[in-house]
Amino acid sequence: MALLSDILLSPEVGITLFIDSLLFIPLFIAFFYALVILKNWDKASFSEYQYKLEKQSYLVITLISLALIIKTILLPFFVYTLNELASIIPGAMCGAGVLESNIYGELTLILKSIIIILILLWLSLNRQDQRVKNYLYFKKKMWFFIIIFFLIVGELFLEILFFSNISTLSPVLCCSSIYQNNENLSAIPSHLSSVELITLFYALFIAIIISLYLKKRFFIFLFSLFYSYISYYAITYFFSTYIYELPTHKCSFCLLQSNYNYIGYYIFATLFIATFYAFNSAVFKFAQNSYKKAIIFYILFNLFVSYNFLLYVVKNGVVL
Amino acid sequence: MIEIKNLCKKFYQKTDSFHALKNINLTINKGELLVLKGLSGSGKSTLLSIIGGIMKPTSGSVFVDGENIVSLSDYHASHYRNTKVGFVTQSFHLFDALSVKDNIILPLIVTDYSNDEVEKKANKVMDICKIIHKQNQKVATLSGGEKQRTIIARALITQPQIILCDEPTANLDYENSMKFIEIIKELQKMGKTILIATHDPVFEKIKNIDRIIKIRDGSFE
Amino acid sequence: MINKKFINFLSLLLFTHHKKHLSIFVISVLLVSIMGAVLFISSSIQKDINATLDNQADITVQRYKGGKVLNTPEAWIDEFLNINGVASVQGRIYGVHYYEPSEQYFMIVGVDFFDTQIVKTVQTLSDNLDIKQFLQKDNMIIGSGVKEHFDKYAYYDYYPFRPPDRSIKKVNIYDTFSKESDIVSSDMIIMDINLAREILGVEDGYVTDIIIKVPNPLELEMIKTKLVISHFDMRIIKKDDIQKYYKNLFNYKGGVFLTLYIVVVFTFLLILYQRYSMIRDIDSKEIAILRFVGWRIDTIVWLKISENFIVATSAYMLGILFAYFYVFVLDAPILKNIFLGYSNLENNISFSPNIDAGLLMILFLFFVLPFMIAIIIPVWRIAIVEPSEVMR
Repeated sequence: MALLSDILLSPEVGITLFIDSLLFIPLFIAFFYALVILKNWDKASFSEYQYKLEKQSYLVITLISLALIIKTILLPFFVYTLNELASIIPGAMCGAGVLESNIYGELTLILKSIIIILILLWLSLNRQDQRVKNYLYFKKKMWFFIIIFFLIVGELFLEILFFSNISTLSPVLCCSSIYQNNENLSAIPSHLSSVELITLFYALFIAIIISLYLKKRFFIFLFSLFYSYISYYAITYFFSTYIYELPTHKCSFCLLQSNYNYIGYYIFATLFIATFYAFNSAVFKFAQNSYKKAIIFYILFNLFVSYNFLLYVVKNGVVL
Repeated sequence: MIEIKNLCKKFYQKTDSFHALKNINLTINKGELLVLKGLSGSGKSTLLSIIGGIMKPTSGSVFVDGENIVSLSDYHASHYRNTKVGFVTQSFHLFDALSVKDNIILPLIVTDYSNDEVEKKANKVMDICKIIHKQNQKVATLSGGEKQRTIIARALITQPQIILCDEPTANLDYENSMKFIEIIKELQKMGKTILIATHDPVFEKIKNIDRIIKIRDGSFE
Repeated sequence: MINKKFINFLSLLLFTHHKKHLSIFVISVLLVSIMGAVLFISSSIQKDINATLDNQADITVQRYKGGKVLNTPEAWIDEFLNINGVASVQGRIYGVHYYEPSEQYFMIVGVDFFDTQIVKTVQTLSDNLDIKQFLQKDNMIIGSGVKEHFDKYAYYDYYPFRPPDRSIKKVNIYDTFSKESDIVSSDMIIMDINLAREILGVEDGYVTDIIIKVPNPLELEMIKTKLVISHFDMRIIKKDDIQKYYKNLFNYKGGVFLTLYIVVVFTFLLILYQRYSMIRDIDSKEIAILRFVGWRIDTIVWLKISENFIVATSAYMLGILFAYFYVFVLDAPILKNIFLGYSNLENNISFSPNIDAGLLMILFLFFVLPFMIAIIIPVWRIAIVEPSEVMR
């Protein structure tokens, strides 16, 4: 357990915890209202009580929208915080070391990302529910909100556990150890070589684009899930080396720092948005606009990652 | 066009309840001019509010062009109020601190019309209501009649098919009441369906009233 | 739904109802100014300290025995020079002098004026240094805080030190350090290293500590290991440890403020919540009119949220401007002393602007986001006002 003052009193961590805890208060009230609505909602009745319940649902809608905005701001801020904390934690040169300093770090980051995508899906469902005339998805969206609420509670706990277990005394690994240089000890899944990884990456990309074009929802879901997983490794172990122009520097965090023009944010943001649109089109039949948007964002994402790679190869004629 | 079936409205107060409307059944055809006569507390304002989508009944249904507006969600009820209904009230429900024009265009802010289209529509209704010369004046500085004409202009700007008037002449003098009646005649010529709830005898002077319905204690007489 | 007409209407509303938001706006500006001032001061001091620390040696070695720091044997210097990767090794002599008349402690630092690097550093602190002239007599350069105290007791030209051997050593005041360096030099006295040795009573063959320059940062850990195994009675301080220490110290001090601030902000949020929960008649009438003419609940929610967002953000921007003015133009009276309280002399330092986007973002997140969270429920309450309310 770290010295409380070191980590928890650093302003970035202080704010993250303060806002996440504060958000919890109205969220809990909305959760309570959602339970009341679920218990008493009767689609067939047009009584005043039903109307009152409908008005209560607007608190849920408003809160989820606000939560989305806040969580979307706090996610890159969380990454920024990790990078800042690196300067007070021995051994850490960037956020990767801080993230790996205890078991809660990665879980927190993954959960935060999942929550944002789920909230976006909720808003998509809500929009459709408002447009149709018979409250078709009303109850479903309340249940969905309850799931999201519990995930957010989990996120808060994980966050607190993560920050309070970072030690400023024992050194952590820096990204070059975490993302091991030695290919024999590679952390890439199934021990793929770089060439195999990249082939898989581009193959999946083509597969997704085709599924989106043909609107095959099951395949879209499957491929986009798999693609986000593979993309993380492709970015860390392959594309990042071309941005750093150093074959041994393999790190997904250093991309987010100012010395690389914050290119990491563009890369992850486009992947995020593309994944959302893909899921939206796969899960919701009514989301007809999402196919095209997913295609656009997947293409943008690929441009961002491939650009430095191609530039390097063209300029220098070799691969790293 | 408007079909009201078994409409009931009960208001619950602290110790007891009050039946504002008791099993109302009514059919109003397109383009009709209908006057609802009754004293204060007879339920005419309540009926108008329900038809206008402002209030929900305790039970019953109101079909407008085949759609039961009582069962609409807020999203659709708001759309109904915005596009199909123009409401003229007795009190001057206006933003006192804003100008006449700003008040009139309120319903159009939530639509997709461009600024030019909004401008055109505003000018047209201000012309009909003869209030265009006061468009930049603050509402607080207007006379009763001018405020009433602002309300009418606002009610007309979305080109609704149904015009509902709740005691429109209650706060007007004779001259302004006559001006109001002139505007109603214009609207009737346009083919609007008009419902006027009033106990002002001046309305008996209108020649083209299709029906006068008397209401007392929540039921038709 | 948010289009030009909406924005127009929003600005109209804000303009006509500005009085409603005034009290909250004023308190907000105050809160942001104070927090901003605290963060600006902290960041400015950090920048100055970091700049000074940059000139520090990479590794400092002290003799450490039985929990006490002792004078370090000069013989270690040659030993360390033999370690690969070490560029230079030097002994330092410095200590604390108790100035009886004002009951203050001054820091005496001995400088080897034949070391060009060190001389360069001293020259950045004092503009008038002519080494030849300086070394002709027993001279010293003093910080502005020291000068004030000496002047109080009429030691304008020299000061008679009393070394441990009870003799009296008169040292002339050659010059005073420039004000810009006050943060580090205010209570400092710099003199020739041999003179310092005499005054502080450091025996021959010993120095206070040893500094080591290591040009390649990747070798630091390895060299530290080699040093550690060379002697057991030793304490090793790396430059980046000092930097981390200071950053932690500032985080700590800032953190104490932060905790207090969170309490204050929370109270403010409760006030905010209360204030906007009081739905005045005129507010509910206006919302009822909007619902009446066909505005949806969520459009009204967006209207109200935007209204509050503009209030919060303008208060934030104004607060930042005030904080900037207070810290960097007025030099933060009152707050300054709280922050620099650890120094034992009054400091008349000037803060140099060191604001980065991260700092501004922290302030924004700290204030505007909680503000928005606090008003959510009041906004919802007012948006669900029944249009039929207006009929009554």
